[in-house]
Amino acid sequence: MNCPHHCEIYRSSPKSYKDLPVRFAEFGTVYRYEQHGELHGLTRVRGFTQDDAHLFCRPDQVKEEFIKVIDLVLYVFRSLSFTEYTAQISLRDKEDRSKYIGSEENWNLAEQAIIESAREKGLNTVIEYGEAAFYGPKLDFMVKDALGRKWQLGTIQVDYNLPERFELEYIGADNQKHRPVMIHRAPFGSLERFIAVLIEHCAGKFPLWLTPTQVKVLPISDKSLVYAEKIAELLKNAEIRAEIDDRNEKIGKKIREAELAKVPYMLVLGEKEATEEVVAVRRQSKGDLGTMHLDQFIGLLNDEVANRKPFE
Amino acid sequence: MINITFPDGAVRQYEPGITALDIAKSISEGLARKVLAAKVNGQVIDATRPITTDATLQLLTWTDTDGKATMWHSSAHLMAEALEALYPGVKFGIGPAIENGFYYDVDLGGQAISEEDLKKLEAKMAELAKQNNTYQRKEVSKAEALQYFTGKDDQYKLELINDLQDGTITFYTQGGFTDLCRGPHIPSTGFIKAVKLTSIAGAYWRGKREKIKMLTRIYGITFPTQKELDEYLALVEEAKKRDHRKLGKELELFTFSERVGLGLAFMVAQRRAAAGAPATVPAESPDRERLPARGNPAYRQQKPVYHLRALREIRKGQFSTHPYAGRRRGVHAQTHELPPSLRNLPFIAQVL
Repeated sequence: MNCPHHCEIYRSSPKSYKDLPVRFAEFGTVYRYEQHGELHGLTRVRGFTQDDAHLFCRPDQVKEEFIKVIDLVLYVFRSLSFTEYTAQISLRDKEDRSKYIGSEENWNLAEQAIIESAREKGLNTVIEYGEAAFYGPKLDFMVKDALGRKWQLGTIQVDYNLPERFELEYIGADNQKHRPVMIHRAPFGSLERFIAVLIEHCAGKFPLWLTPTQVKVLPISDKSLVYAEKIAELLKNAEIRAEIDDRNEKIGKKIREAELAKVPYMLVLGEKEATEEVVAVRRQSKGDLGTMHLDQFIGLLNDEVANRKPFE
Repeated sequence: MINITFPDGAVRQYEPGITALDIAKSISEGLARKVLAAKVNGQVIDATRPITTDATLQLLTWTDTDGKATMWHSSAHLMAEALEALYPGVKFGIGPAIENGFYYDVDLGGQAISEEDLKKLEAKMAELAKQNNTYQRKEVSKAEALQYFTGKDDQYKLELINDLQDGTITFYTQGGFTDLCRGPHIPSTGFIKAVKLTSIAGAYWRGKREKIKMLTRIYGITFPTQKELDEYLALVEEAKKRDHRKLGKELELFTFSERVGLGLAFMVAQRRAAAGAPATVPAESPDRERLPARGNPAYRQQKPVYHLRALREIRKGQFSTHPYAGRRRGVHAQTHELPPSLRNLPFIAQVL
């Protein structure tokens, strides 16, 4: 909720039409005193992190900005394998327009811009009349998770109120003062809530690029420990998040625990692998993928990361 | 004749007093079998209520949120009817539809109710649903309403009625059960084909903790087909497995601290293998000398290998004589300035 602060930053120096759009973004922690009984995991918390951002632009730039934000939101969804979503566009009430602030002209422009940008991006759209806030129309993304449950993730909101209240201005090409349009945008909303949805969506099996531990290196016994340590080190050097399970435990137990921890890849290394200088690869919940050279394995991972492939 | 406007903009003419259900029948019998309620001029009403003026009409079925809510509200009444049959003298608080299903707060007069009892209650509900009793709406005066619930000695309903304006009170009856209710309801109980009572909880009357005893809240959900109920239950099971609070703990993703405060989440650092005795590198290992490994206290001082690209180049026989040639503005490094990792390159290439 740093909207007023971003307004003040905008105001701190004079702006010309050439300076726009001006975009401010930050991760901000906010606190809300929720009732004890209302608290629920990461979805209802007392402190959370917003991906707070505000775009200040000219009325004629609203559509362009909208398209960029839609691209950003879709990039987030694609990277996290949310494939089913609809866009809900909230516009003014068709009849009663007395409760909305801002000029008729600006509203029409913004509403048109939202509808057109959603269409150009090929979004599956639902239009709700009368659902707009008094200060501007908005676009919300409704996402279906793997269980078919719907979540509202990602909001783009036009605001005619705050630029008015904070007397934000820019000097136009006509050398006159104009009011910029403000757009609030949040692809995540609350990071805590988003992470909760993501965990449930992928059942804890995060895409490889995101998962905390990408590879677990499992020496079969202390005879292959040295080789396993080398492999783990080389993986780290290749910027792969690898952990070695060097406990004096049976390999079956190590594999089982790594499976339960939903680590995408396991390298089971014994004396045979050490002699042949290969790695035996195991995929979580898929089983044995055979043996390969380490650089082949790294190539496999890099490909999966670069293509943002979903886990499973 | 009155003009009825449908959601697609089509306008049809009907006799005044026609019901939404009749209109559905005039379109198709199949549709009429699915209509749970109707949205007339934006207001959800019984599909069996007469429409007397020009109106916009949306027929609500199971696929509409309002259609679902209507059926679940009617299901709460059905459960109340079953409760009254199995627990004579039971008194009722409120029984609304919720996001997924419905509940009813009831006063069982001190009797306990168990999971086993819920099974019996479900069976009774299924039996009553099969009778396909219609939900009958009746406008009553405040005096009549008070008289009816005084007869049943239901202090909760009496309290609710006392807060209502005379002239706005309606009763709904299905089979042998009558409840104070503003509706709307589905046409008849036969629409309810699958019943599951999901849980029991305690609830305070009107949320007031200090007042009198605790009521029993029974939660349930119903569906128009058994298949949909089965799918729902499978979904609930899967959702439990995926509960982020459970996974967050198991996968050590986030944690809370009572010392910091409730509802303040911490994302935790990358997890490690659970504590256990570490295996040891054989002391006589010839590799020991050359290990670049972290984690090994003897080699803590060493820097890790940074340049895998250089490593690949070596493998291809394309080793650049200037390993730092790629850096932005740099003087070529002398061999002794190279990080230990690069000096170790021949060794690493050997491992690969």
